[in-house]
Amino acid sequence: MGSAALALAWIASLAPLLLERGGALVLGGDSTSAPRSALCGLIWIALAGMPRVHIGPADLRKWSTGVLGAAPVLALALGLDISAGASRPRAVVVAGQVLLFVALSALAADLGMRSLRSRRIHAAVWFVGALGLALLDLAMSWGPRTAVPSEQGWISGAAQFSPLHWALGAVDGSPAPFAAFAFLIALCALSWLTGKERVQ
Amino acid sequence: MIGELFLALTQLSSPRAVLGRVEIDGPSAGISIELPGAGSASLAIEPPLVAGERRQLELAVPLAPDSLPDGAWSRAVGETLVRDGRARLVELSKPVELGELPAELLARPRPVLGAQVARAPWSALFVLGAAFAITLSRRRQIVVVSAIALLACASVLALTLGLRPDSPEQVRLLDARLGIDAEGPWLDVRASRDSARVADLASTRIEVAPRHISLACESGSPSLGVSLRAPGATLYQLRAFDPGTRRLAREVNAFASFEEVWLREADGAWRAMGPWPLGEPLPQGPSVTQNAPPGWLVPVLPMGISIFLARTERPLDSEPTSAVPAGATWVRGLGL
Repeated sequence: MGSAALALAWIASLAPLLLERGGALVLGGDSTSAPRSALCGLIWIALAGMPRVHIGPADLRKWSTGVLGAAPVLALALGLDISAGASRPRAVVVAGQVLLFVALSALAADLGMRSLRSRRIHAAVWFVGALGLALLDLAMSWGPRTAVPSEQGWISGAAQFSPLHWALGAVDGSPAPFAAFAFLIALCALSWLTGKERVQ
Repeated sequence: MIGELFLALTQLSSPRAVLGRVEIDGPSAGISIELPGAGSASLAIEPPLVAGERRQLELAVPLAPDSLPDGAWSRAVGETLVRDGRARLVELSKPVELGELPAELLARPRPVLGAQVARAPWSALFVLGAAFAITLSRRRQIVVVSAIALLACASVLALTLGLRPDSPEQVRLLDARLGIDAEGPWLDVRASRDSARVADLASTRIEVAPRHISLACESGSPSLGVSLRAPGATLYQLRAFDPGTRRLAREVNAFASFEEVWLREADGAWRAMGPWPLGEPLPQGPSVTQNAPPGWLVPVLPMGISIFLARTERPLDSEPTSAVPAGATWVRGLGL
C-alpha cells in the first residue's frame, strides 16, 4: 500500500470508533459479535485489496507496512469490543481473521501489480468477486423489503466468497470465514501465476 | 382505572419461560430439544439415569414470543419431546402472571439497559497517531515498523481492556407505590444482558426484549436454578416483593440506607438529595440539581405526581447475600 492509501485506510477505519466516542454511532456489543473489529476490518480489507496504480515488482516492505499499519487500529477495536461485552475468544478470532484477510488482500494486489495483464485480471476478479458480489447481495437484501423471501439465493451463496461480505456479516453475527479465505488464496495464486511473465 | 388497565395491556410483553415436568426413561444423561420460534430447552441429569430407571424432573421451557391458545404450546412441546424418544411431557406450568400486583406497577417501563458503548480513550488514540506517524516516516525499515506496531498494539490493548461500559450489565429495580395509602407487594425487576440465572422459575415471570429473540433454557440440579441465555437481548426477571413492615415516607426512612436519592416533585424538576440513612427523614436537597438521575431508570413516567428514585449498594436485610445480583439495587416509587 502506498502512503496515501495507508493514511486513507487509517483515518477511515478509525472513523467508526471516533463516531462512537462522540456519541454519533452506537455499535453495541454482545457475546456473539465483534462489531468494531469487523467494521475497521471491512475498511482495511477494501483498501488493502484495491488494484495498485503502478506496475512494478512486488515490494515486500510496502506489503508488510500496510499489514503492520492495520494492526494497532485492530488492536484498539479488539480492546473496545471486549470492553463492550464481546466474548474474548470471539473478539480475538474476528480480529485475527481480519488481519489475515488484510494481509492476503494486500498480497494479492501487490502480486497483481507485476504486469499489466495480472493487474487487469486481479482488478476484474477483485471488483466482481469481492466488491461487486458483496454490494449486490447487500442491495438484494436491503432493497426489496418484502415478506416474500428473495429468489436470488445464488447471489447470497456467491457472496460468501467475498471477504467484504464476511466482514459485514461479522459486524452483528458470526459468519464462517472459509469461503472468503479460499477466495483470497485463489486470488493470490492467480495474481502470482499471471504476473510471472514480468518477473521472468 | 380503564386507562391504567389499557396501559398495562399495551406495555406487558409475553412471558417467555415456564417450568415443565417431564418423565424420562434411562439410560439418559439429559435431554435437549429445539422449539422453533421460541428457543431451546436442555436438561442435564446428574447422576445419569441407568437402564430401566424412570424419573420425573423439572425442565425450563421457552415460550413463543406471541401468545398462543391454551394447550397449543403444551402440545407442541410434548410432541417434540416424544420425537426425542425417551422423554414425555407430564405437565407444563402456566406462565407466572403476578396477579397480586397492581396493574400500574406491571405497566411501568422496564429499566433500559442501553447498548454497550465503549469509548476509545484519548490516550489510546494518541498512541495510535504516534505509531502511525513513525510507521509512515520509517516505512522502509521493517524492523522498526514491526517493533512500533507491536508496541502500539500492546499499549492500546492495555489502555482499553480495563474500560467499563457506560451502562450496567445487570440491575435490580424495586418498583413501588409509596404514600400513606400504599399497601401490598412491590414489583421486583432484575434486568440483565445476554444471560440470567433464575433461582425460582415457578414464581418468576421472564420477559425478553426484543421479544422475538430466541431463548435458550438450561436446567440441571434444582439447587442451582435455571440458566437462561438470549445473546443480544435484555432478560427481565419479575416477581412480587413483599416489603414487610418496612416503609418509605418523607418523615422517616424505614426501608434501607440509600447512598443516593433523587426526587421529582409534581412540578417536573429532578433534585439530587444526597444520601438518605436508615431512620432519618428525607434530606432537603438543593432547589436545582446538576446531578441528574440515570436516564435509563427514568424513561417515560407520569407527570403531576412525585417520583422517588434511590440507590443502595447493600443487600436488603431479609435476603441472603447470594440472592442479590452484583451491583446496585434501585428503588423507584410514585407518590412519596
